[in-house]
Amino acid sequence: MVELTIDGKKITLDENATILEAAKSANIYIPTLCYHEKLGPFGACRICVVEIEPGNKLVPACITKVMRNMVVYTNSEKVLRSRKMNLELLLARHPTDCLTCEKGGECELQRVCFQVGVSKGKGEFYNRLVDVFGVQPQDIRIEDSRSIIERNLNKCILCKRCIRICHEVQALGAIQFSRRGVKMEMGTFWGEKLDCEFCGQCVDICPVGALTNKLSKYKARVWQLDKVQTICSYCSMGCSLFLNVKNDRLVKVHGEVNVGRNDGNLCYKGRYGQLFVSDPARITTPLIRDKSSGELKKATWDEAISLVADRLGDIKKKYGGNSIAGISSARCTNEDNYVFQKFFRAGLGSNNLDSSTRFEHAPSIGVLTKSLGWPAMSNPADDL
Amino acid sequence: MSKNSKNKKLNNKSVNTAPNTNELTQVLICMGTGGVAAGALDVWASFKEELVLRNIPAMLGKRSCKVKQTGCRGLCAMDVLVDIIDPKLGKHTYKHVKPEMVSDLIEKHILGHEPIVKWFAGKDYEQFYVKQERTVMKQYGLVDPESIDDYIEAGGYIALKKAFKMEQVEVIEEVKKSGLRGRGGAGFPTGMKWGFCHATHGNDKYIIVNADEGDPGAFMDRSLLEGNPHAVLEGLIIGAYAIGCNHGYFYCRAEYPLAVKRLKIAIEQANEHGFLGDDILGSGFNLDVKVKEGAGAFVCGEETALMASIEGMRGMPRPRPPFPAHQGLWKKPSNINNVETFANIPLIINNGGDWYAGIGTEKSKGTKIFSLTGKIRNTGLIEVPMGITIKEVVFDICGGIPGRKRKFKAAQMGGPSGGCIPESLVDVPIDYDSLVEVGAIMGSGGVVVMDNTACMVDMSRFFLTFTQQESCGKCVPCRIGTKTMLEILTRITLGHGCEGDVDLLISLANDIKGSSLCGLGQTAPNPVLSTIRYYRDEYDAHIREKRCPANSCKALLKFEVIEELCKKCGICLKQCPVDAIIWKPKTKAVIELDKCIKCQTCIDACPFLAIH
Ligand SMILES: Cc1cc2nc3c(=O)[nH]c(=O)nc-3n(C[C@H](O)[C@H](O)[C@H](O)COP(=O)(O)O)c2cc1C
Ligand code: SF4
Ligand code: SF4
Repeated sequence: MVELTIDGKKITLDENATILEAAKSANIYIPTLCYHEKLGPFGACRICVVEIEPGNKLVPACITKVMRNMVVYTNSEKVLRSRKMNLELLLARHPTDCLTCEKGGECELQRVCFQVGVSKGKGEFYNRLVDVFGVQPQDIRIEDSRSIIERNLNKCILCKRCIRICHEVQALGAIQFSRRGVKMEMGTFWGEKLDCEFCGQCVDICPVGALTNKLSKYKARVWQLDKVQTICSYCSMGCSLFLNVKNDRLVKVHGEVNVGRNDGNLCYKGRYGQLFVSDPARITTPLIRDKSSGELKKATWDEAISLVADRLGDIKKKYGGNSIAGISSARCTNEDNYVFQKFFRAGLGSNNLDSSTRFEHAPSIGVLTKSLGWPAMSNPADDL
Repeated sequence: MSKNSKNKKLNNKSVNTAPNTNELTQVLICMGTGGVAAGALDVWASFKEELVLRNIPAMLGKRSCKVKQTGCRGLCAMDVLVDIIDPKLGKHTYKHVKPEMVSDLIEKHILGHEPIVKWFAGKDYEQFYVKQERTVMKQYGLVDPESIDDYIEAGGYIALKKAFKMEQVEVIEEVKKSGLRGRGGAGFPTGMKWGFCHATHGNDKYIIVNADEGDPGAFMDRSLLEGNPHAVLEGLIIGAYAIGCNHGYFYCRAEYPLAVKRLKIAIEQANEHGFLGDDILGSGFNLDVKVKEGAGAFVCGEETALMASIEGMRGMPRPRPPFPAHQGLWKKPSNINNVETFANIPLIINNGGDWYAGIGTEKSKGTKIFSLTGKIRNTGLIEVPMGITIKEVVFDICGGIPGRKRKFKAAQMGGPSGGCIPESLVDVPIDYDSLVEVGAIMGSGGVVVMDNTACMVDMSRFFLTFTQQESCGKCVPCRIGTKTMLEILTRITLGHGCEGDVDLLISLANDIKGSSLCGLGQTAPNPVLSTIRYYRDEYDAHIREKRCPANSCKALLKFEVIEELCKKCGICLKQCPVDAIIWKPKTKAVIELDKCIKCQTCIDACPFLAIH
């Protein structure tokens, strides 16, 4: 444990902590852009610089470890000057079309500029950079592919969060920086169109509007969305996800760090495969076939359930429970499936049960049993 | 044809005149990059061909003439340089040797023992060496860089054997005692650096030679590797032993193919001689050394970016700590030093740290190699003791500034990360601390000399263009800040600068220096700050009067003859490619602006600087 002072507050914490973590523990806000708690140290944007004693040096809070008796100033004149200049430099080349930008309202650049007090036309340097020197926002093509991810590199601030999550968390490495200096951009191998797993992790972690989700484009502003936490129904991992709902319609899905076993990570099914729930073609009430016309007609749950109960009761009486088989769905929760099989075994007296999970996973179970001697994952879910 | 018949004739003659069959006449041809660029390969081929054609060895019954390739001598401006060492007459050096001169040299000097005086390298050449102190480069020009036997004959690998008889800490102690500071730029004490890495556990450590040398105008490391690769390799092996590293890397620019080739030869030869590989000299110590070719990025010279590059990743610096001594290449403890740093090691081990500490100044020990380019009579490589003044280097060693009306204006020290030394400070001693005091740095040793036709605003624009392009792009101040500074400088040189620009440049510069991640960004604004410090009036002239005092910024030139200065010589007329100049003998020149294509040829040609 070490003791240090941040903005006059004495803080004691673990010596492996960074200045940023120390400040957070004392409720002192230090703005960041390239930092993300899920990712390894990077230290590129220099927005989080703080002044430390001894030495009166500027250091990035996100990667500098605390030291015994360190004195940190997060808002000294020197700090504010440097922070403002770096923000203004970023903003000078950033197209501020926030009115139509997908990330408007949840953009981290927007938030940091707001908090530090920097805007186009009002900065200490900025007036001069734009008005006098005519610095233009960057102008790179917008990727127009049929993928669900839109890449608008004009807005990119090169924090590398997308690349880092793709390498560090997804272990895929579908994207990487290309070129150097101001020409540097987030790119793909040989500049090809994005052709990856489309998990969308990069979209979720992008602090600005450089990577956006085409499926939800122009559908809602962040403050219009109700966020409903739920569990993904696609597989047995049970990832936590948040449904973003506007006017009772699902607009998009996101994950949040520190929430659920998945720690906010989602795969392409979890993130992009949920929109069917708001599809107009989706069946939302039970349907009962009309005996005379043969047509399926809308019914209430009560009608449907009593019909099924009657028929099952009849069949069991006539042919015995063993004549009934049940197939359950992998899309149901474990609890649902438990109740389902209990009802079959104890209620109907039938062991004829199966599930779509078995169809899907039977081959992999076979392979896993043969190779590992164990038909499931060999590690706990938290290790993933 | 006639050449053959001539040869025959000469052959007959040579039989009669060939004396001294017992001793060798040596022909040493400079085959450094400068030499090769000037045509050394052709000269070499001509010597070989002529000697064979004339059948000299057979004729004398013994090889009378040994032709040797050597590394860079330093004085590249006079390449191709050829030494002919006659056992009786001693050594004579010829400059600007061309293949067609070879048969005369063989006939008159080698066979006739009459040196050809008119082709001698002359006074400038001798002057070039007077104030130099060649310790690291002592063997350059004498040993064949592709022959380990030559190197051993010249005293090579003795230091290695000596070091292996010492304890590891004793070697480090000796290096500490010598006061050697890293030659890669920052000047960190080498012995101390080795000590840090030595103190870490295990033998799974790496030792790396930084041979990336990306500064424009620098070619010290290249010449060392091309001229005497074994010396650097010996230094590396000693370092590896002292620190306890079992793996070594040369990270060499791919643009240095000759250096790479000679390094590989040296490594192979050292392996064959048991100086590398398993159980070196029976000590039980193992070391394998690989050459990794870089991909031509300046930033890959930065140690953490360099290691990322070796690992096969994008060459981007990462924050320190962790320092390489704890977590370097492949996350293992690593030690990295510059080529020249390693080249100094065998000398220190051979002669002792105290001997080394006797050279130089109190805080900067030993000698330093500089490469001089720009507006200077003798461009090339020099090795001087620390503490020598810029004046001595520029005027005494390198012969001053060519051109009648041309004067020394400034010397850029430390390349794109350094600063300029103006004329008023030519007496500043060259040592780490004095240079920093005046706003420059020692850097790796590149010196660009400028005369009074150089515009200092344009000069800082040039260096910033370089650093801005070479920025890895990782951090905001360096990536966008240097580009913004460059835009401001460009506008100034185009005559669109406005009041307050210089202050804006200064404040941007300080912020970029203060908040960039690696040395590239932290030093990139230096050329701008130092030119503003010494030549602010030039900036102001560009901004306020839309005038370039050095008559160099094209957009601000009027292309007019200054009547008071014109000496009516008419040289401008001869040079003008489009005959836009009206001149008759004894009249002043006039430029017809409607014909002038603004090529600036006349401005460069006028000996009296009378066109602006
Ligand atoms: C942008 C940049 C480029 C560099 N290029 C080189 C280089 O080409 N050669 C070199 O030896 N050191 C270079 N350095 C310095 C190295 O990072 C490192 O300090 C040096 O190799 C250490 O060796 P030394 O202690 O022997 O000087 C560079 C540093 C920076 C920041
Ligand atoms: S969508 Fe996933 S796989 Fe594709 S680039 Fe983004 S993080 Fe990588
Ligand atoms: S200072 Fe420049 S070169 Fe160094 S890490 Fe930052 S962007 Fe890259």
